[in-house]
Amino acid sequence: MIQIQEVAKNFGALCAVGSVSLEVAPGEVLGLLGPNGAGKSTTLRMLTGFLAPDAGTASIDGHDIREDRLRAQACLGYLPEGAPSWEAMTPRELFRFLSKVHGLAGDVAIARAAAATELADLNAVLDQPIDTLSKGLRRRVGLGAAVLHDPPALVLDEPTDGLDPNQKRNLRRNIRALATDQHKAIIVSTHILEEVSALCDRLVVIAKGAVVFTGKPSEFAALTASGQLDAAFRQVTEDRA
Amino acid sequence: MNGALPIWGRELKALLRTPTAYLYLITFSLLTNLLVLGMSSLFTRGQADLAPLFDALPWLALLLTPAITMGLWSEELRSGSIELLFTLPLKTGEVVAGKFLAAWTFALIALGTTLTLLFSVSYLGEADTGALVAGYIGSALLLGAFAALGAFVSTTTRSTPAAFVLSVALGFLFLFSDVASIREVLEGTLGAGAASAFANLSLSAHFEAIGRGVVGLDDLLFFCAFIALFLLGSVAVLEARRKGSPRKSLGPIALFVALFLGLNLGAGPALAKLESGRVDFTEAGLYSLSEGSRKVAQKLGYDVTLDVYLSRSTSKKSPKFAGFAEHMLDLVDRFGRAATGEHRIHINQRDPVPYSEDEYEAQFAGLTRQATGLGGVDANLYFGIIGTNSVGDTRRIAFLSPDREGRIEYELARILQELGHPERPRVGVISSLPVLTGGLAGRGWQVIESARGSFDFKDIPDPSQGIPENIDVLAVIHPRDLDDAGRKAIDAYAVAGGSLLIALDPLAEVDTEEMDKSDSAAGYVANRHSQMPRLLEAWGVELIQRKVVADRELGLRIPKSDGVGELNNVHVMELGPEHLATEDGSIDPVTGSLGRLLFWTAGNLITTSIPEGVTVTPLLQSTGASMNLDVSILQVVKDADALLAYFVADGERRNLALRVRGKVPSAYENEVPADQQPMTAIVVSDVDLFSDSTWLGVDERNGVTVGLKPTADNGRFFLEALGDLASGSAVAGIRPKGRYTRPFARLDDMRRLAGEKIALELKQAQVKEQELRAARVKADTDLAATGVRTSNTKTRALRDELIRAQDELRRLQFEQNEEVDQLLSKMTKLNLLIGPSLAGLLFLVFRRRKG
Repeated sequence: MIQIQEVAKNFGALCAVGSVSLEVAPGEVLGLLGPNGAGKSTTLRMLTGFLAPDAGTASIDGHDIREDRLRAQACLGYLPEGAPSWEAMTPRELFRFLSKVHGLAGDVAIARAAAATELADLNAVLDQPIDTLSKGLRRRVGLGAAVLHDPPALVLDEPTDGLDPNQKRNLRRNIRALATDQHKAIIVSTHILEEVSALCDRLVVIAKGAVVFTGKPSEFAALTASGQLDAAFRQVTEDRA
Repeated sequence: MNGALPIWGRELKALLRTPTAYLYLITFSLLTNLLVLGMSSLFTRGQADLAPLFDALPWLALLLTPAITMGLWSEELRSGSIELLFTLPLKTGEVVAGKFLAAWTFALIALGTTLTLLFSVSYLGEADTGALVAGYIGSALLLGAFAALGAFVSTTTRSTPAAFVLSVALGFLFLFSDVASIREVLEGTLGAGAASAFANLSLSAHFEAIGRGVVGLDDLLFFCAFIALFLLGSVAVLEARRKGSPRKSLGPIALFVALFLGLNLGAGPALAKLESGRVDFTEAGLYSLSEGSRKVAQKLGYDVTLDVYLSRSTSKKSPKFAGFAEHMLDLVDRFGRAATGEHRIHINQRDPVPYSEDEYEAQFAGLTRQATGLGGVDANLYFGIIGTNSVGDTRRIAFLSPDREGRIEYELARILQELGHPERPRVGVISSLPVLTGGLAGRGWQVIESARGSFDFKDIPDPSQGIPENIDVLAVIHPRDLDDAGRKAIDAYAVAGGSLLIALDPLAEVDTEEMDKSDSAAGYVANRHSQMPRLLEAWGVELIQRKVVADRELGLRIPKSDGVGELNNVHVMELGPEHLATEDGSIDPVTGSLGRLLFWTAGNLITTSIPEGVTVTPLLQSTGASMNLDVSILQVVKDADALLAYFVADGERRNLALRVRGKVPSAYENEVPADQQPMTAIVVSDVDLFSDSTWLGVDERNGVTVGLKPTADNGRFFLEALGDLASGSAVAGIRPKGRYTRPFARLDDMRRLAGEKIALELKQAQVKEQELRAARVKADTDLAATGVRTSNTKTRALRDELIRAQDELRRLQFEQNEEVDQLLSKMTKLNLLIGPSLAGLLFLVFRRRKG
């Protein structure tokens, strides 16, 4: 469903992403793991068409993001890092606007908005301007916006950042359900290790703009004798330093 | 481009959601009203147009459009929502277009608050709706151009204030780069190339062109190209941002610059060449070549050369004049292109810079040199036209002045007609008076004598024999004794498409032939009138019998013999330049250049049922302070003051002269030719107008009579009328375009009515005040002379009474203007209130509903 092939991006002299490739199948949650500044967000921005890669390409549901950006983006729900939004809008207005952009209308639009509200648990704040919402709520609004048009592929950049433990647990459960029940291909980027075992079917670890590990969370944990994720993380990322 | 729609909706709603938007709308509305109503005194200047608004609009747009556009992109960049926006399945172009359209829409809403001004002037006077529509189209396009520019600037920075300042600065350059003084500064700082690049893309020139009432395809395309350029620029910058590296933006930005230069170098001149596709919105068709002009150009008998002298660099110092000059050059060109017949019009443009051969020729030919007050090479401004034909005749227009803009097409057509047909026109004269021999020393009337240089006059003593073949103009002056056979011959001439000058009179003072001088009362009106009722009726015109138009406002005032006050001779009308415009505000080309006209017991021409295909237009009219006075009253009442007692004005403006044009039916069963040509006739209701005693005075030097000198322009009127008629129906059909004035008719009416209502009261109050003052002076003098003090209470009472009388007088004087002043102050308040109220209404509609 999601394919990234050897994408690379330089910002001036700085190499943000050297060469990253990965694949996500329908029904699968892929964890994109790496320390801050490893190139996770840049990779995802290239996947979502926000940034054009210097080299390599990516595709969503078979649509190449460079050749056929609009089709690829139509199959994609994206929660950018920090969940930016139009802050003067309310979640309801945001959903209405996005419905129009995605060409949803009538009952379908209403049903989809209701589903997104339900999933992100936004009922209480539906008519509050986004700039008055807490950090966690904003992220949930972003998540609702990402799933609004029922895309087969989801890219969530640090979706649980700023959420309290209960919210985190609920959100993870919902994301899992999206993969398991609705067979979406999901990439969740994170730097929180506990998320990995709780949520992800598979793991890609990048550091300094390159993939340093691909495999199941259990395989990742087994890299070190202790079987601890953080030890493994330290090992693969610091090796590169 | 479907994706642009939700973006447009979202952006517009976001704009309308913020309190800043209402601050903006209210500021815009108040500022506009203060500038237009306050500084430019829209109401007190008394013209039913919106020139002050369209003058102020570029400044308002310059400051306020960037306030709308500044956050359009920079806000997205700053908050990061750009990432959400650009990962939606939308083309960059769609997003750019949607945002631009939203900003433009909002700017148009702001422009909409000025519509109250439009309604105000339309209420107060008769405005040129077409020109106003064009003005608004131009304003909308100007706002669009600024919105595109501002949106573009906003893509380049995350800082909203920076976007604002940069937009204002760039907007200023594009708006005023063609103003000479600013251009000079630009040349000094940016270099000549960059300065001219900005000047070529100057918005103000195109804005003003549209503001004149003509929406030219070139101007429309210019605005479209300007908007497209900056939208493309926005896409280029945003695509570059997608690529992630600022350095990689250089490519698209270079492309944008190339486009900019392309538009500058290629498209500008190409656009200027576009001749077709011009929609003339002005009521009068101000900028279209009329059918008559086209005919004149097509049917030239000789080749004509027009040398157009224009001081180019000087004219460019004033964008307004440059715009006018452009239109005039365009007009000359259109004449040239219309000359598709056997003979052509050759056009040479000459630039009479100081000390050049062209300047010498311009001076030699007598073109007017206008001092500009500027120094150096721009001290003088020439804008004249010299026309010559292949047999050496010359005609000129000494100076094409913007305030005579509407006449210039007519003047050019006259010149072309005269140069294209240089033979002297023949004027046949039918008259019961000796107009060709009855003047001084056995010569003709002075109107005839002074026209002999331009016309050949031929007496037609017996018109019943038929009108000679080769007559160009038939002058029928006081046909008192004309029989039906003669009238039938005139009718045949008219039906065949002739040109006629007809002077009739209900009472011709000059006609003393049958007057019985022994009976002064009866003799006064005995058989001294002339008419052709049956002929005129066929044209839909009637001269009211036995009635003389009297006009209190136009009445000739003569000092009384005792030196106190003056006599108002209401039956002798004196028309000054301010009285030449007829009801609809237009001035006929024949009268347009006249100063003063004197009518002596003129009649009242009215229109009855005008036949199809014939148009009758007033040429000269009395004022509304006029009435029809029965000639029998004039017969008895000789004293001007006594005549006033019979005077009751009814507010109607009476026709003193009419122009009739078209294919007229025959009144005397003459055969109508199969290829009937339109007739042109000028019908004047006064014969004395042309008689020597009316408009010539004795020219005395040192007490010795040396001849006669004109005291009025009656002779020139005769000459102009003949010239107009001789130049054929084609030229006569060209109406001067545009209105010199579009007064606030409603206010004038109110003032006049108020004046009439209180006239008596005012007079009484004046008399009373005078009496009281005299009494008081007397009391004071008595006191000083005799020391006898009149009783204290009596003097005090006198003083109090005088003060009351003076108060009353002041009150009355105010009263006359009170109604008008009240209306205007009410309208000013309304205008100031409605804009902000509309903003408030919008706020109520768009405010966030609490969920």
